[in-house]
Amino acid sequence: MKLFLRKTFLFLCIPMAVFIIGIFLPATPKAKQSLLMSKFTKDSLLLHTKKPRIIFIAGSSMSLGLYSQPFKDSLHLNPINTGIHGGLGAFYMMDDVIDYVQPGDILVMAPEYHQFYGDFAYGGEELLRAAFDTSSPRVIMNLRWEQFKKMYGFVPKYSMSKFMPEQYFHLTENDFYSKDAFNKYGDAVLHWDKKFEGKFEPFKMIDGGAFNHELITAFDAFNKTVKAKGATLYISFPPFEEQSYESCKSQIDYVEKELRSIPGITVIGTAERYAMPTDCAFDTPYHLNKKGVFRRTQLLLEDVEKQMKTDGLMK
Amino acid sequence: MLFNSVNFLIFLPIVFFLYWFGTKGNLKRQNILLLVASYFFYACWDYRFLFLLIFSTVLDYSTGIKMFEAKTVKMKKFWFWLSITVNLGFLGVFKYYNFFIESAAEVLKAMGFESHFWTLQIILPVGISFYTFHGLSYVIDIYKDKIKPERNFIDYSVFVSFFPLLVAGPIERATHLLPQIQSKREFNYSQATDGLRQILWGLFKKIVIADNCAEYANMVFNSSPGELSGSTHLLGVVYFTFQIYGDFSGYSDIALGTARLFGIELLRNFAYPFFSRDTAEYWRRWHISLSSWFRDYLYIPLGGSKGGVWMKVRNTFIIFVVSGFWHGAAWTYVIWGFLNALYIMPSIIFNTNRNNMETVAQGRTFPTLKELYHILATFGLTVFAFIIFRAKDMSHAFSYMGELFSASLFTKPEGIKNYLVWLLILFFLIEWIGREHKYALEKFGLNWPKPVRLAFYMVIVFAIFWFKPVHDVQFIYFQF
Repeated sequence: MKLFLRKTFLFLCIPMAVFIIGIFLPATPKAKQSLLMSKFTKDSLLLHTKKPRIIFIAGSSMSLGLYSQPFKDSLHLNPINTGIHGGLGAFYMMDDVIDYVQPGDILVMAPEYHQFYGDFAYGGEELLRAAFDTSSPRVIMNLRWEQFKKMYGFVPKYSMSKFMPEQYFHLTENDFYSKDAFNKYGDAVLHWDKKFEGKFEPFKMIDGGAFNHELITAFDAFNKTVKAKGATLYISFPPFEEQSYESCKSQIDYVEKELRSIPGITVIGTAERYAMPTDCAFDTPYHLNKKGVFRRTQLLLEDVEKQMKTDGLMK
Repeated sequence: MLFNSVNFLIFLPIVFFLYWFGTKGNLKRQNILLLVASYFFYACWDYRFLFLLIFSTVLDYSTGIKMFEAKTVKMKKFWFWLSITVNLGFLGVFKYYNFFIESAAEVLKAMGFESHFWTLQIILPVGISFYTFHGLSYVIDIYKDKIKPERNFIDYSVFVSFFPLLVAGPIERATHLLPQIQSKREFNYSQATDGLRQILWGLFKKIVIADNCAEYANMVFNSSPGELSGSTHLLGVVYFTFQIYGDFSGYSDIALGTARLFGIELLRNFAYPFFSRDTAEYWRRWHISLSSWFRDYLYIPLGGSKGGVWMKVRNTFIIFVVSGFWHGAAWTYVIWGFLNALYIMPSIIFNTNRNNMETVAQGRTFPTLKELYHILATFGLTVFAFIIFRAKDMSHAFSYMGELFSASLFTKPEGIKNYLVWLLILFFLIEWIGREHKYALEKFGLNWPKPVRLAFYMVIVFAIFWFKPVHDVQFIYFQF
């Protein structure tokens, strides 16, 4: 028995050592180019952008689906687009932004519909990478138990990736999924003049599991905290390619109904309004090409302006 | 709790340590621990169904004793039929109720009658088909005086609910498992290391092969008509065939390996079915514990092969259709069973069904061209039948076949992942090399220098973590 236990333990020590060493190794050159690294820039924008501010919160549907300049021009607000990747999860997005919120800020949150189903909102591999590749203790300190539970399954693969040659050699040029894809407000613009080479596939349903009511509770709490800080939160909807919208309509309608049921929360626009023509989509139903970005920006601008007037925040 | 989950990775060592260190080798304590662990394992899915499992256990335990003690044949029959009726009744209600109701409604509708039957939102208790068949075999064996009833309730309960086999088999027999539960078990180093090796291979089959093939197969089976080419449909069903094999035989390997860690040997469930040279051989190598169950408790009682060709044909159709129906309450499974019966029919009629009893190319590295041809033909038939097995319903199956047998069958399939092709080649190479052993990795590389062998195992470990899908994927056979 002792021999069996000793040999088994020694055998298991090897992968364990690889996982532990891997997780604490510095970010690889490839990881340093990733769009997750834009977290530094976006945190800096949140910290240094002067008032009056408008902060956009979501995943890549925000970064690859919005052009902030018109908000500055029309509403005279300094925009900050915090969108990076949906895989960070809606809980992380809220927890990350809240520390930077200042009195008078306008927050516009348009989480992807996938955030509301299954455990997507707790983040995934991207959250783990954001925590360790950016060596950000703040990210780790802010994590909830459910986020840890979701993350640990990705640890082995993440650690092993640190030992893969392609992470260090023959790195491809920066593309539209890199940290350099953003303009000064945090909008991803590098893909605007590019054509998606692959096959665009609409979503047939929002898979992942049952509706996550905890996220609704979290929005309620987030709204209260934002108000307590003297800021304003508006909930909007992500751009979503129209075929996907039709296929997922019942799930999207439920999201909209649940959002509108949160007491004291302001929902601007409708989900249907942000169903985008297929020729506006880039590589996924949430990502827009230049035409789509301008269309979505216009829609959101109208919704925000109208609500701000209603709320007496502008004339 | 899934075998491929982190929860099981924590659960197994705890039970292992308590079993070998906490019980001090006391058989009674070992069995109590196994029972508690098994019930905990089952309750992790849904604790409510634990009561159903316990009820079924108590029923078969009691009726077994009552049958044995019955003073008249009439009383013996009464207890026997009581057990059979209740067991099959539970299975019928939980698994087949809605199917029968919906089918009856459709038949009446076709005859011009409107019907308003109630269908129920019934959840299928995990493993009900497996533990019901455990219990049935026990009761039938007592009825036929093949075994005596087990008087120790704990021992009997462990036989029914031993956690490695509880939810997806192998379907054990009392004559094989109960004596092991009743005997003193001592730790055996080579049995335990072999068990770990089998678990490792099972995890590789499940996570690396099955779960990665599943992604492609699901994509193809969920596609809309006209969306993908015929060749992609062909690859989709081939990948599904690999998926179901990797999934179920992987599960069986993990179950057998886990049981060995506790000093228990379970029945073998798979013996390289894709290297079979005809359908009869295939069914001797695929889900062996179920095939042999149907042979012993259905085919032989129906008369088996004794009554001439007609009797053999009839009985073969019956067991294949029932076997298909066992898999699930849908016409697709029934027709899949029927199709397999058709496949095997020539060998039944011409009495060639026992032609290929030994392992293919035994003692040789390569098969002959004739053997290779037969292997490929059998595999082709198996793949074709799996279209029906995997389809949502028969119209989906026919539409899938229509898409497959189209002009685009000879184009390049879409979305091929090269790494998966290489993994499959490597996998079948290892399976071919190890085909004369209980599982492919049993003797694989045992004559290599130790560091090389360890490095090989380590590569498998890392491959499991590297290719693991984001979410733990449930085993296909849990739904049966």
